[in-house]
Amino acid sequence: MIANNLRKLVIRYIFIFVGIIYLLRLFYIQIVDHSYRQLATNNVVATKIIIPPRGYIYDRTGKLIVTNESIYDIMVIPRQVPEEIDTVKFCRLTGIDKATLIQNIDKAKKYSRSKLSVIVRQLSVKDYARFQEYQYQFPGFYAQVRNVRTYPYQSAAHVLGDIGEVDKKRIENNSYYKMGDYIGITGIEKAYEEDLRGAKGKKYVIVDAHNLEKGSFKEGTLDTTVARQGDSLTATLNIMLQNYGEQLMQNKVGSIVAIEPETGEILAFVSSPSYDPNLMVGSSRGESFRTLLNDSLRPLFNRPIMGAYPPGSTFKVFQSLIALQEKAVSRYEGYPCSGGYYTRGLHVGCHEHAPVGNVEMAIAKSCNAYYCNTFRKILENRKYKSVEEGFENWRAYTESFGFGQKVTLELENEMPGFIPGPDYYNKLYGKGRWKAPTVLSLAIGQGEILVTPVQLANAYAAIANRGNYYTPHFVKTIAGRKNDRDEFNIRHTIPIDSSIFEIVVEGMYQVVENGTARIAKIKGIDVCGKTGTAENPHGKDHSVFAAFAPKKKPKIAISVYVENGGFGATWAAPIASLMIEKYLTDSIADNRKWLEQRILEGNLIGLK
Amino acid sequence: MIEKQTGGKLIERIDWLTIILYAVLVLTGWLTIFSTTYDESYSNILFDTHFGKQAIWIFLSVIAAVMVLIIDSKFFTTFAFPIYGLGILLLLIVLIFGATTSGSTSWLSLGGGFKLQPSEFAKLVTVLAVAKFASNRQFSFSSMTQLSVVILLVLIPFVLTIMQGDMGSALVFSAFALMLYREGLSGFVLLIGGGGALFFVLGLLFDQVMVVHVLVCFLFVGIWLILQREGVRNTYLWIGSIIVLIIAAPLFIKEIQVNLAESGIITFFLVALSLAAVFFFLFVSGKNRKTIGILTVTTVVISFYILGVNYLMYSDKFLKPHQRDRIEVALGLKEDKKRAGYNVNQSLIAIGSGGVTGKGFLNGTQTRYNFVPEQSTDFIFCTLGEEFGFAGASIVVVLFILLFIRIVQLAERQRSRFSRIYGYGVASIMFFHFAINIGMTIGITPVIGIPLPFFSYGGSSLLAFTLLLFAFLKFDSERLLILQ
Repeated sequence: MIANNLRKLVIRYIFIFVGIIYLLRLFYIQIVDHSYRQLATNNVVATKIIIPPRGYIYDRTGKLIVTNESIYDIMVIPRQVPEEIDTVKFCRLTGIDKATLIQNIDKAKKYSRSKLSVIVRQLSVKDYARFQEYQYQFPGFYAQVRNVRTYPYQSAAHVLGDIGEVDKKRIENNSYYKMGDYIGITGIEKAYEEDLRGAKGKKYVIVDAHNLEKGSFKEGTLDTTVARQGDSLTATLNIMLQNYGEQLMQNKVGSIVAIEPETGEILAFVSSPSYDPNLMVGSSRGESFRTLLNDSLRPLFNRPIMGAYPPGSTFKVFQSLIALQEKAVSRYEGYPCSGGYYTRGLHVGCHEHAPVGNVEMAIAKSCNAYYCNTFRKILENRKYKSVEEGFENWRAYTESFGFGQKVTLELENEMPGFIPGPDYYNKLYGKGRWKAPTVLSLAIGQGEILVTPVQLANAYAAIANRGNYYTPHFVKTIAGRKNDRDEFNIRHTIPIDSSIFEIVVEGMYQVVENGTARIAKIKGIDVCGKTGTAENPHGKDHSVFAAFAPKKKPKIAISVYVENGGFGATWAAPIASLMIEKYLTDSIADNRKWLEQRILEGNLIGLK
Repeated sequence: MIEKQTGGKLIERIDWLTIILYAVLVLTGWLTIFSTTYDESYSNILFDTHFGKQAIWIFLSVIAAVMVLIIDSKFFTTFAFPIYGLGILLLLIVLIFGATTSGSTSWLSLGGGFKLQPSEFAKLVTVLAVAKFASNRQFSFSSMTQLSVVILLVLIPFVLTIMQGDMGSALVFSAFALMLYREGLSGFVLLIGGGGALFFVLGLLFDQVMVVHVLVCFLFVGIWLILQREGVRNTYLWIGSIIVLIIAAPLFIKEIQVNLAESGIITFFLVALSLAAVFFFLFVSGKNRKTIGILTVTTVVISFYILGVNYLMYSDKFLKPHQRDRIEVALGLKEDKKRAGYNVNQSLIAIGSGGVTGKGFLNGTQTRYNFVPEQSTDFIFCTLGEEFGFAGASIVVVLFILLFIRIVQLAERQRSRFSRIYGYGVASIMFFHFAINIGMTIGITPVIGIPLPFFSYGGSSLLAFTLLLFAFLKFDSERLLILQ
């Protein structure tokens, strides 16, 4: 019995001993050791970076052309989903089909049973509201809100550009960006990234074990920074004109660039074929991008700045300006055209036209023979020791109009075009082995010379201004203040007298009044322009027209290229004149509706 | 007359203190489950969640408890072995038809989302059978045959549970050692079993040289005390003290602690010094040479055991790397953020952050936001510790200890050997669950997934513990009747 008593006590002592040990341990970890409290806080309090919405973009008339839209991704934590959920209802609410739902949930399970995976992408606010009402019936499903760019006018993709996830290299070089942030990749979105992105905010939130947000920490009293939305920009575009231009260019390949001569502000910038910028948003971006990239008409190719074409006859006005300034020809000097220009073994053809007795007529009739003669006189000017020197001088004039160099600053991948000079031909033929006739095709804007549509529009704006221009640009104001980049506020001056400009302008006026582009005539508006037909070694010639209007105090300068459109007067001139009319009068006169109709219905796709 | 003899009506004969402790624990557990499953977004908390299901299980358990109290207690004594057979059969059935969840095949689906875990009931039937067998008048632990039968009775469900892949539930059967100790099983079984486990864990958790060192220090302190009692001259004691101090010093100096683990020379020096000291003590001591000798031999044996454990653990001859990993993770040696290591860490954070009075009901951030895994089952104590703090956690610990002591008190007052053995079985099994489960949540015992009695969510566990306890209360209420 004594032994049993001892055993009885031993067992009780074991119970009490373990109890005391556990109480001491609890006392130690709960009361003595404070580190667990800190660890618990570390567990549940997460620093959350708040990405502000990007700045809005308005057009010059105050219309909102780029804005943000909240979209909702429905996410799932597979572990928390009960065995049976009403999949029919779920599919009805979110608009996905059952097979996709099951497939996505399986994929989520494979990824992780306790981490968030996306099940339904990009529900609109309206669709999400419908789902939200029943969300309590679907435990384990969560919504995550995101902001995406949206373009109410569905146009100007090549100007506005797009945003996408920041790449690794950028994150390494710039501490502002973190994995998954969005950044402007092209267009205005890229050029004005720092204005548009705003400033990130930071706050402390309570999270659960799966990093899901459960509320603010200490009612948000410790929040450090409030996110600031990006600045709003006012673009120089007139979105109505832009959309009208895109409509006119439907089923045609080419470009329209319209500039306000007084300021260099780009009013319209059409690259055709174009695409809806809303396609390049969110999850569909990759697929859209691939489709566009593989399109044989190359919609991603930004033709106004990347397409380098011969200017054709639109270039003749510059030849006259240079020749008159250099006194290589006089205003009232004509040239007998007998179907072209003949020199040793060389013939440049010309169309049939009334005799040319002065500069204005030469421009109006676009006489090739006249310009061959004029160009030769520029090169062989007695003022200079050699043709080479005359040529170099010509090139300097040409470049003062912005040719042969990048002329805008905001967009990516602009081409400089090409103005050949003596060095080029020396290389090609050898020094002293070429003469003025060798390069004669330059006289009529053909041959090696290449200009971009934006350069052409800009140079015509310079003519409209009678000898100066501002660098063409796309952004007028940032956060309500004038875009004060110095480059946009410097006036580039062309070393040609304004009286000479008046003569050439008169010639350009005659082009429309009774010359090659009578089709561009608009009642009540004095349009000055010049047609061109750019020789295309790969197929049918490109139709070109460049113009400005009105003649006095010009409001718009424009260049239009229609690839494979043939004569300048066939497609490009009507399009330019419709753009001018639309911009200056806000409508198309009844007697020109037929023309608008013809252009809208014109289909040049597939012509070569 | 009969009324008087049996001590009145059932209601008067029954031990209400135990029932109150039971009720308080079950209801506290239910509230804690409510807290773990509470979520504002659930509309249908009664039926969708553990909380709702547990309510149904509590209801069923109460009915079962009442039924056990009403049934003639002879039912259990008479049919102890058939009931045992049925329990074993269930274990076999689950092995064949059971559902496998996370590696263990321990569930039988009952339909309607309810599942049965036969291993929970295996403890009950085994206690019954062992109590029945050991209550035989001729039973003696000195008979090898009879001891073998007892061991076999425990071993069969143990092995079957292991075959299900449920190591935790299987280990519970080791609790029978405590029950059998009361009935005369040698204390050495407890000592060797408990000590072996303790030193195995210590040897792995801490640097083994360090543990040996501590043991040697304890040995010298023991010898020193014996010598003092013998009245050995002070000079010798001073010399002895200095030796003890030299050996103990490294324990208290951090830099040396690090070196200790790395340097073989220090270990060698320690061993040499220890041996010299032992001979010195033997030389100066008088009659107690034998005691000192036994102490020394014990220390040497334990030291070799500890060093051997390490050798076994880290030699590729005995353990495959993944087996070693499992043991290490179970002991919290290896940072396994996703599994056991993570669980214990998060569990400690949850309980530790509770403070004195806790964060308040439903306000525990660690459990509410799912940082603690298995929070309504194995780690339910975390929620309690976090939301009710030291106050709540310690009250529950004390309630459990009171319940265990009350049960063994009741067991001691039994006239029948059967009910006494059964009572000790109930206490031992519940105590084992309590010690392992709470010990695991506060980082004292390895992570072994067994439920906290009455607290953890789970119908089988609650029902089995209720039957276990109330069968004993029934026996106790009839202690004056049963004179077997």
